Amino acid sequence: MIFDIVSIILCLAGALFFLGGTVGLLRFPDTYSRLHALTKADNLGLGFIVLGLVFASATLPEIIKLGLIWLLALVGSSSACYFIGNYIYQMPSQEEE
Amino acid sequence: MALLLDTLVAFALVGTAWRVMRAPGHFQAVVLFITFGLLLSLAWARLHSPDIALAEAAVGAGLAGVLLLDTLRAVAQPGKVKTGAHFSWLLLPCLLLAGLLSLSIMHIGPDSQGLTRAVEAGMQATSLEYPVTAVLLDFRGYDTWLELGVLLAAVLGLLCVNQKNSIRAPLLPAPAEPVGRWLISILLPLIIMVGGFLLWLGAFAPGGAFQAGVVWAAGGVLLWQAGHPSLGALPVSLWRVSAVLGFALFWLLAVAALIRNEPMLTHPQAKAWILAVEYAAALSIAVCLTSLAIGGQKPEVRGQRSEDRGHGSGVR
Repeated sequence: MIFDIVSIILCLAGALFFLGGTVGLLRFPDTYSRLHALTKADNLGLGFIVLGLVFASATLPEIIKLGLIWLLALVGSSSACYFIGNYIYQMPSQEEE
Repeated sequence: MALLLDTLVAFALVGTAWRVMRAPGHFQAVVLFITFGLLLSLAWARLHSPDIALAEAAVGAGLAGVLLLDTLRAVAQPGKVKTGAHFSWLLLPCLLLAGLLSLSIMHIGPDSQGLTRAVEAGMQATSLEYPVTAVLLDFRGYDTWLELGVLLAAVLGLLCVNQKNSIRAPLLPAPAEPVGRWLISILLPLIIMVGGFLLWLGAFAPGGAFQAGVVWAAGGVLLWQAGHPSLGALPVSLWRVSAVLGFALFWLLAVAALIRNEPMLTHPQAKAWILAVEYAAALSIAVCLTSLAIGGQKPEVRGQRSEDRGHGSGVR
């Protein structure tokens, strides 16, 4: 019961971060700050949701897989952010689509 | 609660499909199409079809997205599509088709078993434990064989169009890109492991040759994107053999059955033999898809930023 409540609260917190990141993606003026909103907020949001699901999951392999998913998403989003940012930095004329 | 989620997914699917059609440019359309593929795999997962969900996420969203983005890059000036102008005449046929499909779905009774009974009866005769893999590799081996043939034909067509005799694309000098190398050093071992895991899983759980092959192909594309020299180090003969191996093993099965005077593609029910065919198919799928993704590239398209390219000799 306690675990369920903790899990729900954590997942809601994660959803809030995702919402914030999405609003930032839509509202921020340039690509760099949009990237910032997307990577920071979404990684935190996913972290909270993974943590919430850890409280809801039963077995150790599940928990390990959830943690691995979060780490992989961190690796993926941070390097994708670097590649996009670097691409724009190299070609300043294409900064705005 | 589940109904709410399903309704959300359904509306998101239709909405995204609409946005793909109405996208202001090709790039936006491709990105939306990838999103559509991911939503579709979510829908398959909700329909308790993890096999199709995996395949849709890997092929429909992942690799097809890469191919479409590569195509965009290869087309000199993508230009803009006039919104909706090209597609409005399609609306009526699409609605008609959707109506017919809905009608045919309504004709299926709620307690209809489909082909489940037939597959369950057949499971006695096969040595595989997982029905989906049994259907793909055993009961309907023809389909899988011909799919491999289609992939192979696509690669051959690419070679003909480009007038090259090697599947391997001309390898680019590696960009001096520390993050790319770091990404490869982390992701590639995981990709190899996950692909192998999916392949091994296919014998008794959702997974199998196509999913594994696509995951490995993603690794190949990643290596190529980062200009890693290992792809170029593979001898061309090895590329050729791996590309045709899956198709060739199925062909051997067919010929062997004909020689034994049995119906085509019937084979001895040895699990090792079926698994060998599946593993060969996964390898061929990986090699063919990698070749498709990298084979059509023009080196000069990527060579614009030559000042920040080094040589990749230190990567290994």
